[in-house]
Amino acid sequence: MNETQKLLLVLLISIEIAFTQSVYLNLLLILISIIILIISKSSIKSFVRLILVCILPTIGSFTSFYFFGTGEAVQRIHFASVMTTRVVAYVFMGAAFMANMILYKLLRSLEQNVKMSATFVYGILGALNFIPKIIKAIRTIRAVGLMRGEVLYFWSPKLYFKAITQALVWSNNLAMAMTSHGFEEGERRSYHEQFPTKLSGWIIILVIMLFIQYCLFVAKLW
Amino acid sequence: MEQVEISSRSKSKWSLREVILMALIGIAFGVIYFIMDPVYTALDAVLVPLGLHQYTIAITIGPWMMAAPLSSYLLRRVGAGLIGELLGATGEALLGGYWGVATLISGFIQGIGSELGFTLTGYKNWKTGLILSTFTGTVMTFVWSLFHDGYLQFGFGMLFGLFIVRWISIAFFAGVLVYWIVNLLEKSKLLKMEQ
Amino acid sequence: MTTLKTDHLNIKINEQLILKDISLAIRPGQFILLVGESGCGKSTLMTALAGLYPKYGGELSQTVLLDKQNIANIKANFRAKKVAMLFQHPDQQFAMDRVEDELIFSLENLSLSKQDIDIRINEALRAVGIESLRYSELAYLSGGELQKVALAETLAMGAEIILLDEPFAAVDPIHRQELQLLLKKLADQGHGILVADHDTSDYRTLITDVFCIKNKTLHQIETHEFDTMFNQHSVQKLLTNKPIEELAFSMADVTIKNGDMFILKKSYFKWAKQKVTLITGPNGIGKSSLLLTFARLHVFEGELLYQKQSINKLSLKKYARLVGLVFQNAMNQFLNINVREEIEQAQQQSRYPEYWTETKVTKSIQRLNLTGLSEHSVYELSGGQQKKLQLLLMMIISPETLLLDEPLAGLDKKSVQIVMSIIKEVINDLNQTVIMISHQTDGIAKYVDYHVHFSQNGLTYEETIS
Repeated sequence: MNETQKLLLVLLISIEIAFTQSVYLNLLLILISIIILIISKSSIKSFVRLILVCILPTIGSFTSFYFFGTGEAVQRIHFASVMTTRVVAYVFMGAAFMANMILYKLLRSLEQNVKMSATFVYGILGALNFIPKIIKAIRTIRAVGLMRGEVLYFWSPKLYFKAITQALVWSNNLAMAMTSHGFEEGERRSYHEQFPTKLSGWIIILVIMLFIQYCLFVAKLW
Repeated sequence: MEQVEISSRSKSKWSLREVILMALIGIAFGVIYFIMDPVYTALDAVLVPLGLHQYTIAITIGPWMMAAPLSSYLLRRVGAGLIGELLGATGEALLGGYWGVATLISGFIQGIGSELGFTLTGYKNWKTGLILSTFTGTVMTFVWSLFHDGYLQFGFGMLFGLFIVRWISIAFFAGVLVYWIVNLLEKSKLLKMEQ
Repeated sequence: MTTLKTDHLNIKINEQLILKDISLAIRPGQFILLVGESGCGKSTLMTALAGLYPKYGGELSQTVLLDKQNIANIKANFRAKKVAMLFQHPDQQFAMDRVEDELIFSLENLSLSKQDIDIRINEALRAVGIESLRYSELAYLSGGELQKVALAETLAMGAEIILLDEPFAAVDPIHRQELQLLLKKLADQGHGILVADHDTSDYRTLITDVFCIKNKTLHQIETHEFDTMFNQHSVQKLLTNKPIEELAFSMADVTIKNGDMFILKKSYFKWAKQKVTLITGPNGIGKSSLLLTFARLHVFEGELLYQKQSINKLSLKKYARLVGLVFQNAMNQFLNINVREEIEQAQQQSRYPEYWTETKVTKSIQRLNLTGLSEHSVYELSGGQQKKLQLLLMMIISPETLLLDEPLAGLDKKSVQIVMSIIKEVINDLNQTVIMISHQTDGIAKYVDYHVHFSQNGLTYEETIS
């Protein structure tokens, strides 16, 4: 499967489980995601983090639908379980996808496979390199505030304004450099590496999606 | 040089610089959002045992929706809100990583919701568009939650409460706060210099 | 062979005239040095020559001609084959995260085939001598290495004219020399090179022409004037150089890194309290990172004490009121929009409001020549005005210790004297400590108590400033 196909598959599954209610299917997806994470050699630490991230939302989903859902207790338990497992499924599927995806390849394959505009592909890639700088910049802005006796909270417009100011400068510098490196919006580019969609990938997507339909609508898993 | 090519710039197309700008803003807002994380967790820890986890989500949805109206303001272009929000969501997804693809889907819904507000004014009046966008954004994301987050299972009282809280959050962050930020930008004259 | 040329060009940005009547031609084999105070318009000229205006904001009265064509009308993917630019911030010019991918990106822009791309990458990396960096991640490279990558990228695209805008601002001395020699070699091979640099050292034997921007216009500096231009070394002796008594900071076994590069290794050093200490040293050596470390904005290992207390022990909020940093980039310092709001905020938050009376503030504004700007947006001010305002704000705030990162950049001689005398006066009155970085040292010895030179060998006290 190439990166575009991986994204498509995760999107399809995500949308499907958003509108259907099967605890077992969700559990199955979680299990598969965990297996994928193990195969792709995720660290124990990242597992622990994933589980920590899930704790509050899962308990929260369960309690809210159990306490405030409508219908019989059995139905409420079922629905609460659906929502709980759905949250976990999202988190683990997301993690499994991210662990097996190279963003560079994903965006480039989107450029080649679905004709996503190169302006977006390279604009996003370029912006991502600034993540460490942005984290530092936000820390600096807050420190500047403190040095001048002002605490900037997440609801302070100044904090956002200063961040945007920085983004204006950086976007200008990077875009100029990329233009100087020969990037012109809307122009044809060549591909050093091809990322074609594979037939095997389409077959995997088809099989998995058929299996999910089977679980949901034929076997009617709980 | 033999080939002469004349560069052209159309107003409806995104320039490289605009894409980078909105992606950077999305990432920056994501970073700021994480400042709120301890507050979020503390609040959630209180509400979860009461079965009110959905309220934590409703209270904190606003910051996620700030990129769209801001993008509409900065770029004044059809689709700027939707694409800006999607770029923001991409930045946020890659920053946090956990929700991955789910963030993109919500970003899409939020972007459409916000964009609709500006569409209703025919893209003529940004301020009115901003006010409308807090409604359309709330309605759109709420309808999505009816299915996606299982809200259909709740009784009317709960739904009403969740809707109001969500609207307040969106109105403050994606309305009032964005308005304040834009005011600062206007006053600073930075954007005039940009164009 | 390619020539880049313009005649009687005026450049406006936001309706403001930045440069006027510029005539310049860059021909194959030329290695031109462009000098001028920071903020004089060097970047603007470079950007215009690179064909990036009007797309990125500037307004030109004349065309810049690449051979016979208007360079601004050539599409980027064609232009890059002839002219390319290296930028001042080495870490803000790459779209990709790895060296090879970055080169591939630019060569794909030129629609080259895979075979051509591979050949060109090999050649370009070899020409610059960075084959070993091919698979490196850009985030871990030093400023000097990044500029080498940028140069390799330029060569891979085949650019014959190379414009470099303050390319060594974040580059250490060794890389700087290597790059200067490389540029000389390229010029000898027939490239046309234009370098904007405020630091003229080591260029003398390499360059073919020197231009200077002054009062918005461009002047050529004749060969017979080179002597006075390149030999401006004056040695100033410090007035006071008594042993240090009380300490502001003290470092024990302190290691500071910038990415993978060591800035300081297991350093032991003492910094004087209630004195003015000047730090000098080459670009890219880590002076700014050192001040950021003092301000708790950069990580370090070892023991760093502020007035006998480990700096990480105090709460960030309290510490920020004791130790204030005046950033190299003035924009970083601003919190409000117009000058009045900024000054009012500083007065409200001052640690010595009884000292910074309305009269004192007004007088300082006058001395700094900032009168009449109160309703202006701070973002509209000139570079020099921003620097002076930024400094005034932090002086009013009056932390115990002021860390100043290049507070004199872009100021004329008169302003330097005014700024330094205000600093000296206030810190004497309020018993403050100042640690400042400055590459501009002319005529400031009389305000300085200690001089620390920061070199490859670390930090050393020196009795003279040269």
